[in-house]
Amino acid sequence: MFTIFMFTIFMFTIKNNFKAFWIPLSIIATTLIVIFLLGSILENMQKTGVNSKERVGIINEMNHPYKDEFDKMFEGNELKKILEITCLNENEDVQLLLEEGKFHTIIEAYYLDGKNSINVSTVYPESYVLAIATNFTQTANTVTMVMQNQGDMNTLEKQYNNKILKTKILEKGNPIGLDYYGVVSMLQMIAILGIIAVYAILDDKTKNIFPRIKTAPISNFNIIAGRTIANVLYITFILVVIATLASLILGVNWNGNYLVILTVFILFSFIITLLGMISAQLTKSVTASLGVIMGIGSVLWPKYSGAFSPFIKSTIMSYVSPNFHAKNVLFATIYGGSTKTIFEGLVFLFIIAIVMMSIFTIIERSKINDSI
Amino acid sequence: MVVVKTQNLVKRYGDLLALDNVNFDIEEGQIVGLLGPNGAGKSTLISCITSISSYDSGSVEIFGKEMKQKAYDIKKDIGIVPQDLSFYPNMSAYGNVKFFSSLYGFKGKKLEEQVKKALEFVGLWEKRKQKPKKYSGGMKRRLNIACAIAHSPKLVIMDEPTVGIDPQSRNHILDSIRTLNRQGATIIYTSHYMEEVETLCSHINIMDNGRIIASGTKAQLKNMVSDESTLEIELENIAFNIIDKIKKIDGVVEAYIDNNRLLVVLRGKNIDEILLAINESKGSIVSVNMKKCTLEDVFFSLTGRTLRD
Repeated sequence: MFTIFMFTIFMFTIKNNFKAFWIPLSIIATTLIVIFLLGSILENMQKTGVNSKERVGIINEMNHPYKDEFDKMFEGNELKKILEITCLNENEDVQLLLEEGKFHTIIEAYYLDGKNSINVSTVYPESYVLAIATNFTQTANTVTMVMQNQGDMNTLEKQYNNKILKTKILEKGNPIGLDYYGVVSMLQMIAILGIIAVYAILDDKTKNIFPRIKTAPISNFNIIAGRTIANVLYITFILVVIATLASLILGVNWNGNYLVILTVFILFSFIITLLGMISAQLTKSVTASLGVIMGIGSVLWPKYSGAFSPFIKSTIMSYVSPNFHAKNVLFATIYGGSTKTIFEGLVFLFIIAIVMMSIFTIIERSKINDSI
Repeated sequence: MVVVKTQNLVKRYGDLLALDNVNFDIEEGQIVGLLGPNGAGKSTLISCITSISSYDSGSVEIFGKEMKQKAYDIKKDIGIVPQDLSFYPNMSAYGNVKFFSSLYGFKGKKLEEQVKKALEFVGLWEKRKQKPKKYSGGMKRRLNIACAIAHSPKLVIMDEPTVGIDPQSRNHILDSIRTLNRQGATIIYTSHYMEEVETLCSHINIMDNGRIIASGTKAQLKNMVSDESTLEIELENIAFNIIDKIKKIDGVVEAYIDNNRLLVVLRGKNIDEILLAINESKGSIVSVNMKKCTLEDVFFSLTGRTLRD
């Protein structure tokens, strides 16, 4: 019975949402226009805020004392801030590791025919490692250095299109205008869809459906859960549509881990749905709720948290802003940020969702005895 | 079998005592009227009975079990027709009835059968594809009933189901209620139209200021007030001595002239003698009207106000 009732409410809500097709249609169109306009005007001003470390693989087979000195040099904390270092075996296929994108730079240091050599292969033209290795050869004096400025671009171009290559390699992980606003504008605009959650709650009251629902043999949990799931999936679907259209029409870069991207979409949709439901319960008015949603979801969360600015800044608001954390995770997965950034962002989104769910539950329980 | 039983039910909205120790029993198969002016507490009583609202003290039992918000086994046998129209105006009538029936666990063919039965019952099957926003007031009221009865409830609670509709639709609805009752449903019917309650209900509870001030059959309620009736006779020629003659007739309590009308308050069936006395006085009768005690009179005598005050 639990599943049937919840499914009934779920299907009903989904059908109702799709009937009011002009709402998502206008959101999708407006978002694409905003992405295009802002992306074109503010080209090259953007920073992701993601600390994109250069991933470096080291094969060190030099003789004593250079082997130890070389290893010691990379143990410094300063270098660890900009490099993510992994020690590799001498029989690794360096070319393949670079082509697969597992490393940005690989250092092969070895002793052969009576001399030490360092071979640096990198996809970063301005790799930090090049400067470090050059500095080491000058200090050590006896080491010959061979620099190989990763030449096999054809293989990379087969793997990525030119646009992604540009953002991944030339821009060193920072997006161009359309890519940046593809993410942040979408997160900002989609907040407006919280209005469908407002309708889901207030329809019962404005259309006087409340007495019928309350006298039906169905629990409040089933009603709320059915509607919430329907609205979350609906908003997620709209997010996927916007992301796909932005990619196809404007060429916005979404080339990250799709599972992470989808998780962010679902968590963000859940938070937006809860924002709509909470404002509906508190204001009991569609117009006032729309004001709350626009104020919080489209202004407070993105603007005052630094989630919309093309420059990197974070404020106190950042911690409670789902836009900020969603942006961080999306940029981290698209532009080679660390797993830690992705994990932290997802945890924050999850916490915000839990807090909002608790607030909604408290309000809902306090209203449970409302009269008709 | 007692279908609904309330004991000392009390409900407050802040300082306002909406229900004041309401005790109320309904037997299976009855059509019970809840009569009272606006604000008497009828809708509050219904919302407490159906657990839409909580109450401060007292108890409610339905089908012999305590009624609670999570008493789903009781709720599946209750249908409520709210005072305000309660359906989605932009969804077809069929869609509305189907959705509300599905909340009672119906699905597939059985669900379709129940929906068809309900829409046919209220005479809306032919117009099932239309959206209710295009319906007339009477049709909307009938759809409001269809949404409440599609799951074949044993107890149907109707909160002023005929407000603001034409006499034809009203009669259709009243006939439907009688049919429902004949099919076995117990019905609670609230109204401030005493004529409806009088013609429809076997048992009547009169409410005022959150209390049930009188309860019983129509005859019992009228007897509480008086067994007198008023005879109103319109005359062309009125003899001056007619009043004295009529007052001497057995059973006549009072007689007086108001313009060209002779008004006689009497007890018993002695109209023939009164008419004979008028003829003997050479009075010319234009019309005769017997005014019996109504529920309106009962309410007035109990509260000093009319139902529409």
